[in-house]
Amino acid sequence: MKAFAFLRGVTTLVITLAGLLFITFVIGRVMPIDPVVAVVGDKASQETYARAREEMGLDKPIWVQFGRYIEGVARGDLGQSSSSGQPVVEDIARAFPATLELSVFAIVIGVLVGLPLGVYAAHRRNTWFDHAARFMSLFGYSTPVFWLGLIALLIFYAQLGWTSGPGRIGTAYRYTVQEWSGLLLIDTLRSGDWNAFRSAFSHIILPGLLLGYFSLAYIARMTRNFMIEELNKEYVTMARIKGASETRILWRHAFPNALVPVVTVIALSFGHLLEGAVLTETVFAWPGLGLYITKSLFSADMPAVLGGTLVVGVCFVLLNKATELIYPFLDPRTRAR
Amino acid sequence: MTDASLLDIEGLTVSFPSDSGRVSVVRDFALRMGREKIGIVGESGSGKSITARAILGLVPHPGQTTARRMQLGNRNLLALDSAGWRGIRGKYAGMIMQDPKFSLNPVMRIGDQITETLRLHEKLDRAEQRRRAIAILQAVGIDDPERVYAAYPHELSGGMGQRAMIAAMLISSPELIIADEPTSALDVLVREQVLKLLDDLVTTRGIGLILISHDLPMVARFCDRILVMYRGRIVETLDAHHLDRANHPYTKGLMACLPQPAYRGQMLPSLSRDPAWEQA
Ligand SMILES: Nc1ncnc2c1ncn2[C@@H]1O[C@H](COP(=O)(O)OP(=O)(O)O)[C@@H](O)[C@H]1O
Ligand SMILES: [Mg+2]
Repeated sequence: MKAFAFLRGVTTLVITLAGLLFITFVIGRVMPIDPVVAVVGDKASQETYARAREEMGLDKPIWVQFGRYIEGVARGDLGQSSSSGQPVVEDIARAFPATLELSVFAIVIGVLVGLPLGVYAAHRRNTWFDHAARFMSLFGYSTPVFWLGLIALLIFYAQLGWTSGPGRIGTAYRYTVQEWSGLLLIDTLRSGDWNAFRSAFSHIILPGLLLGYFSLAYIARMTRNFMIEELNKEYVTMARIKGASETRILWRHAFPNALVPVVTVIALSFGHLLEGAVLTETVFAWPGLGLYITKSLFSADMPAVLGGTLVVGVCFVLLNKATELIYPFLDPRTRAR
Repeated sequence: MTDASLLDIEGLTVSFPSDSGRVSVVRDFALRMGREKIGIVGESGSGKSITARAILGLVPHPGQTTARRMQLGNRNLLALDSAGWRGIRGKYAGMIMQDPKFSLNPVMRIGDQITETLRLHEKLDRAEQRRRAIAILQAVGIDDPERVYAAYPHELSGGMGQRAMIAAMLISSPELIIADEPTSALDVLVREQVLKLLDDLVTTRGIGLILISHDLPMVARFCDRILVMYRGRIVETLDAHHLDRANHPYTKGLMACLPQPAYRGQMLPSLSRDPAWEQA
């Protein structure tokens, strides 16, 4: 039975990924951008154009093209970026860790602050604390991220000089960091280079806090709502009847129940962060996936855009799968018998 | 048996704020009982559950509870702060709620939910807690207590769930148990078993029982005295063995709705409100 469930899980995963590939492929074909022109330029002669077109396989029937695309992806080949001249895979391998690092930084803040905030707001619902938390969340939802980002840069970097400005790390350290995980905070720590670590930290702190704020606003809000729903249930009254304290009821009874939907919210929030906090990465010149895709889009670099989109899609699918795997630990009702 | 010293309540009133000022949903409730079985009957919305909660200090916000006297044994419930209440609940007084589907925590093992009552009030090691939980599960008629101990609520039937609930309430040997419609969510077939079990347990352990229901004959079979509530008030107190002595028109109305052999084949009468019931 377990083997069957596992097989089914793998099958759906494969089908979803194939669908994703198909969609990115189709997007690439229907875009009103001529990939040939992007390579040869619009001043190329008729012959050069035709030759390039043939080399790129664009004269073949569409299903052959899709087959080649799949084949390439399976080999880890996402094509050549026309703007950087590098294989897209290599570009992404450089950009993705930057986004991952920023996203993890942000989601850790989102969870560590958002969860307790939401739980406590539910406990103190309709008091000043709850209202203040709600206002803070609403502010997070409704303020444009690039505006907040610019203001933050202006105050903490330009005026006060407390943090570093755009980029991931000071230029002095850019080429001295020994790459290991691609996450600079970890790599600098690992090699014991304190100054480099401090530089990386003072670079990530602003965009990290900013994104962390958005995800904590969302997580706190949703946690509050799910907690209120749980706190109104009978088993909570039952716990009170046994003599449980409010703290115990909050954390031992209601919270584990609320955690089931909250985990989905956290995964969603993390997914959105990975998707490339495009605007944040732009404002802070953070060399991540979001910035890469945006830049590629502006230079009509289709292989790069598609490759980036594919990676984001794969992240979403895997994240979804991961949450599915977590559920049974949180909710015995979803456990396979 | 009727040393009237277990629970002593006088002038219990519970009110909620509404658009037109405070509305009392329980008015001037009074009860003196020993380790006996008291029934409370009344139609839905008559204030039975709120009364039960008030006795345990659990009237939900923004409800307000006032009373002239509220005494459990020699403990003055009116003087308790929230920590004081927590020391009473579970240890000296417990409550069995209607539907185990909702009143058991879905993500907590039954064993943990039963031992929680113990853990909150006594210092015992894990093994001792477990031993007592298994013993109480056996006492509530569960044949495979080890399995149920490790099970989650959704793995149990309604009847089993309610037995587990009773176990969680009895494990710390309380003096008073309130059972608020303990069987109305169960299959008809197991209702009688669960009630019988509850009755046996409170009798053999000398626990005072308040059995709440809208089912007058059922309550009459298990209880010694019956309070009839209507619109937040006790309108009549009956001796369970002499239901025929009921005076109040509402009570008589309740009884007239019961099927009787003499009227076989005819429509049962149904109750419609009568202003006369308000005067008691
Ligand atoms: N939280 C609450 N706020 C306001 N009114 C309530 C609340 N809970 C119960 N009531 C009112 O109290 C009355 C008695 O309810 P309840 O004790 O549940 O009745 P019963 O258990 O006899 O069916 C009802 O009219 C109900 O509307
Ligand atoms: Mg009720």
